[in-house]
Amino acid sequence: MKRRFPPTREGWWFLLATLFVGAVAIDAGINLFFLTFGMMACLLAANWLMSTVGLGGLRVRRILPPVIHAGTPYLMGIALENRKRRLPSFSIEVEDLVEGRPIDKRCYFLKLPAGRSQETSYRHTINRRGRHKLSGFRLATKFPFGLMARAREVKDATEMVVYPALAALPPALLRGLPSPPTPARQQGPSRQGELAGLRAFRPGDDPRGIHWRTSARRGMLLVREHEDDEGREATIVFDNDARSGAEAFELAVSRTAALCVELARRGLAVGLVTRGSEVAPSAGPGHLARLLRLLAFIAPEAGPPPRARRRAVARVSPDGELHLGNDNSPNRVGGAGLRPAEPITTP
Amino acid sequence: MRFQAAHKLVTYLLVLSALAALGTTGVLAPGNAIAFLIVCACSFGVDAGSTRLTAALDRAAGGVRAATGLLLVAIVWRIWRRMPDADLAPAFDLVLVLLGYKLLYRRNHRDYVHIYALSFILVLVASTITATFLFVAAFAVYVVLATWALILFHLRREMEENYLVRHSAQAPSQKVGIGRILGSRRVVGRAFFATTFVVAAAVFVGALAVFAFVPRLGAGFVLGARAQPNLIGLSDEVALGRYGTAAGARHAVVLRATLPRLRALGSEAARQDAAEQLYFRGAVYDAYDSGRWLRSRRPELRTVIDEAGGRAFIHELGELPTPDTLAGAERQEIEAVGIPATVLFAVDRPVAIELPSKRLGAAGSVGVVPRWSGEAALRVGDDAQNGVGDGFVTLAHAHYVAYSRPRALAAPALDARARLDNLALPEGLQRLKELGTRLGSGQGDGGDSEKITAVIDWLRSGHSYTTHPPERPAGVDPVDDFVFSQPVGHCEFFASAAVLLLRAAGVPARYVTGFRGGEWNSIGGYVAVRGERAHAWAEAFVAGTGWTRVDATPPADALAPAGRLDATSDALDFFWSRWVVGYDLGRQRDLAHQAWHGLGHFGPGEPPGRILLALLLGAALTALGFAVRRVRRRHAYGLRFGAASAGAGASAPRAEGAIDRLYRRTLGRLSRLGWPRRPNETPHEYASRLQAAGPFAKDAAFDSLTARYAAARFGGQQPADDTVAALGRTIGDVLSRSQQN
Repeated sequence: MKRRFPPTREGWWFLLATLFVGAVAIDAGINLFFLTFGMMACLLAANWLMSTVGLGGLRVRRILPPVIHAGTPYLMGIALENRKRRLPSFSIEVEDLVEGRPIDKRCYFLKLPAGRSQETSYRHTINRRGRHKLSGFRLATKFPFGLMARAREVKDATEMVVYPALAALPPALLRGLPSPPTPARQQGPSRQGELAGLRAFRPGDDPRGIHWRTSARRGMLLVREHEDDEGREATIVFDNDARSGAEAFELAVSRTAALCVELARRGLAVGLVTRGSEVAPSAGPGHLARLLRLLAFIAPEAGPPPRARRRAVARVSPDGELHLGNDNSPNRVGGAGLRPAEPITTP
Repeated sequence: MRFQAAHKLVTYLLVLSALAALGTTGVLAPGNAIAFLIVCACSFGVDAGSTRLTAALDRAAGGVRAATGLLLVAIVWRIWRRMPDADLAPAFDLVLVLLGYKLLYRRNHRDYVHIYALSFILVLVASTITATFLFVAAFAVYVVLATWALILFHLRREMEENYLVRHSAQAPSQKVGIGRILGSRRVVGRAFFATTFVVAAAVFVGALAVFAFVPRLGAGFVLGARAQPNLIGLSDEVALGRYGTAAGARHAVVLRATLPRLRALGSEAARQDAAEQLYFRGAVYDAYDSGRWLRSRRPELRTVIDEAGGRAFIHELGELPTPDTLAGAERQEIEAVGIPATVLFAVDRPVAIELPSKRLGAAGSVGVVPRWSGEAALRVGDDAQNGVGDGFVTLAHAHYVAYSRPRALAAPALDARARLDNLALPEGLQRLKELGTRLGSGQGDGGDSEKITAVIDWLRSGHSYTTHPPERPAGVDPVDDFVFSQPVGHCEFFASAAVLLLRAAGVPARYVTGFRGGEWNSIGGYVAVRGERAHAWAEAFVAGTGWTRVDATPPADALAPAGRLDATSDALDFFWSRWVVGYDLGRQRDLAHQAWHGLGHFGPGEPPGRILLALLLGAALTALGFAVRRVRRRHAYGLRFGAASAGAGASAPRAEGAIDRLYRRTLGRLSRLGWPRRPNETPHEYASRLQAAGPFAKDAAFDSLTARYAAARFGGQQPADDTVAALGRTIGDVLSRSQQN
């Protein structure tokens, strides 16, 4: 826990005035100047003491937003709790630290009564996908007199995963996608059709699809898969080729992420195939988070181009071009409700 | 109180306290103070963008600025015109005008900062020239208000400038209007003011501590020692009829003397009588010329000063100081607080003077310098001892110790040249010379003493005393007119006539001014001398005795003593002057010395002193206080958590029941099994944890125990003993199984 105590601009003036009065008192032997000098020196000491007390007994925590996309503003919640028994804390600033350095946003708490907790938030944007580490907080106050900015750093390491930015999808593509489900329509995997098998329960799955007997026997939750589910599946093939340029690659990632979000929004079970990894189609917010997380960390790779073992409905080339349809079996594109007869290519 | 209103009120009170501090100096003209108060009252309702008055003022801003500028120019001109003589009164007016302007135009933070800075300047300057203890009261109030004002100002600035922003993920952040917060009653309240008052009190006490304990070493490297301008008064000449009249109107205390001899007297009445008999000798004049007393400055009349042992020994040419000069001399601490003169005053005839020790590094040393006819003065400068320093120090504020004798040191004979000087009579005044000769010769072969008596008797028999003498005709010597034509006058005429008649009678004499008598202040234990006690008398050289005081002025009615309130006020001023204004390294050393003696020297075998005992007693009482507080807090805790069942007002702690014992035992067993209850866990949280993963994962027994325990402890529902016993058995079984596994 580091502490800092730099004077503010007014504090420097006050300090200089204090030294001047003290010097005059000593030099000229004016007794009452010692009294004034004492008052000024004690005000500085009181500033230090009260700011120390004000910063003491505070507990701060973050309230992370559920989803953060690169380039999109988000609200980071900050909760501050005053654990002192009697004394309130005034005028507290809280800053998030990234690698020990404060970001340019801060939260201000005017008054935090004893034993109470308050929440506020700051608006911030991160432009790069991937993992972001917040190392802690910097609590600062200039209370009571604004002469010294006392600060205390609190270690609280938090890791945030920033999903890729969501690029705008071409309207022609959006027209080819199935409509979002109405509230009355079933949003999860189908419970009709032939039973295709069992798979592990994933967050977002309909609990009614859990096969309880097998789950009990195996000691893990398993859900039924029906033949009819395959009709609402869409697999996106993203070729994360190492030969592409960095900017084009990021555009490709953003488009892939946007496509994942859009397809999921329209009720499809979305899968993703890339060089080196494959996520089977599934639905639900947990699954979408898994896809976006994969895209958050995805990097260009060498090796054989990705091939979908199931029906691919879209291909994203390394330079960001979006091809709708399946090169191998274009006739089956419509299986997911995708209408275009010709593949749609975006520049 | 609403935040905004609190801030404004505290700011105005701060300004008024600074004005009060300035008021203690006495330099603030009442008219200016009233004008400033009117501006304060008018400006109180002027807030940024609030009223019609504000709008009108904003429209008239140009005119107000022009008027303020003109006023400032006029004040600067007043100051400039009086240069190089320092006159602070216009400077105060300057600050007050600026302060009034700022109060009328409080629009942003900078204006508030200016208000605080200007009020601080008022206090700072007041601290340099104030001479009354009332300053410290105003200063204490100022400290409290400054603490509040700075805190409120800081909070307001933080609110307005920086951080009250509403964020939204969908839209850019927006500033929130802070009118609602400024009008809130919840930001600062009674508790806030009480807490910050404690802080302010601590600041004030800290300021006093700094004042008391910072060593008064002095430096003088830059500004040099404090020097006062040399004001004309008792220093160079006395024009008859002026000094006495002017002094007669002064009721203020000008001199305070602490005399151990008076303190040793048995009663207040005796001390008051003794105080009335004192003569504080000051300036001495040897040359008379047409109604003016002057110093002839002849070398033979020069006072002789010898430095030894930190004291300045004073004598005159022909006098024989002995090694035991101080033996039998009366020691007195003199504090001159309002005498516009450089002369050192002391009771009767001072033979030695002690000055406060020189400050380290002081640019100029203050020393006792010789003048004439046994008179000494203070002078500051590099070579003060030789009388060639930079300038004299007036006794506007001076502390020193004097040693006096009723008469001068042994003087077998007056130096021949000095004798001639003190027998000199001006041209003319023939009648007066004849009168003096006649009075002297009328005593036959009598000595000087008889001649002195004859002169005094003659003057007192035909002349009367008044503080309002008649106008003397032009072209006539005032003393001649007093002696022969208009026999009414005050002490200066009696003293002048006595000196001239004695000289005509052949007795060397000179004219002395100073103060006669004083008031015994029983509260402070000192003699207070007011300006109205200024007096003039003569000194005559009596063969075999030396210079002797001759007071020819008829005894006047005793001056009315000061009232109790006046005496108390003056005693406080004395304390203030002695322990605040005059607080120096010597006083610090004395205090430390007394404290050391009070502690009784913690040497081996020596018993601790009373102060040590007092300290120990204080420590024991403090420890006792802490113990009582702890017990009371524990008792309060017991009332809160142990006696809920007894309802409000229950005072006895709840007795422990079977369910409590079972719960306590179970906790012990769980702890030994590795499942202790965490300090921050409630019973129900603990039970939930144990049921999630622990010995009671598949058993609700502990849940049941917790519920019954909570119901008993906090709800007063004691379960039946057999229920507790059954529960105990179930829990015991579960724990035993868990232990075996």
